[in-house]
Amino acid sequence: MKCDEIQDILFDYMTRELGPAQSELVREHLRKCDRCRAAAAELQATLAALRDAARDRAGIPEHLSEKRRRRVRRALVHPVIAWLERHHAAVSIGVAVLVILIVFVYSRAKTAWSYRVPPGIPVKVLERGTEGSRDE
Amino acid sequence: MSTPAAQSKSDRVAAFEAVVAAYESALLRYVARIVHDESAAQDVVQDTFIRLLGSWKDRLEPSPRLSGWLYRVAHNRAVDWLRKESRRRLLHRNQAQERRLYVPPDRGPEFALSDAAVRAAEALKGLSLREQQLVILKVYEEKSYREISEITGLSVGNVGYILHHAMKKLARACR
Ligand SMILES: [Zn+2]
Repeated sequence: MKCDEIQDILFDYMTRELGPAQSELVREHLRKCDRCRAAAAELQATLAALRDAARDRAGIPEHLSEKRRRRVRRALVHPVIAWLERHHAAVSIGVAVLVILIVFVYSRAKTAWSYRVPPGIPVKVLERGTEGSRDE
Repeated sequence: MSTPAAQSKSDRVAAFEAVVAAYESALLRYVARIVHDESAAQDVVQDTFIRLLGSWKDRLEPSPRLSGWLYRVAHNRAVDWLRKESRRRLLHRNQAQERRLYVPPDRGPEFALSDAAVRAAEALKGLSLREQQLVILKVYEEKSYREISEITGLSVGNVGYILHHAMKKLARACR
């Protein structure tokens, strides 16, 4: 195998993704080739630095907080309440729109009601010329 | 064949608790390293488990397939959060209070991170989200290419290819 081909699979080799035959090829090549050995050393150092960084657990919670754990449990036991909780923004907007709609429809109905023609009072229709005098 | 009906309600509660216990730490670690925000990581993992309840039709028990599903959903929700966050930052970029000062986290007296580790972690943040995802899964979480392929939907060959280039970039940045 050529150096380029070896270097393309160095990371696979180091993280045990190669089969035994290919691993042996890489090992054999690294024994003889300074250039690839240097590339492997650099990659190994980067890998070691990352693995060291992986030990850093600052800012990484170990468990779900009590609040989240309760929410998750509620979703299991009371899925509808949990859904409302999770979509509280959309639910609040929906409720607000509904309230506005109800108030609007109600006030329109009320206005119409107050201008209604009361029942029992006949609507007087003046007909021209049927009576002697006309209001001017 | 076991169906969800085969698990009674109390069984299902217990099974779900076991799934949460099995995966919460790993998912929190993974998501926190993508979003770099503890509270957001908590929200993302919480939502992932809640979504599991609605979507998972098979028996609830730890398995490679379930693990892959959880990582996949958590990742997508983490990306959603990052998008929202960057939009929010863009909106408020002129507001002074948005400029958060970096406070190095308190790691305790005996925990010392090597300079190389700090530099590598910093360089990792400079990679694309896809590259970060694969490096975190492979190096931090020690997943195999096959498992990563299950999580990401990428082919095994593609996983190796992206990782090879990501590691080259990191090596260059750490020189
Ligand atoms: Zn060589």
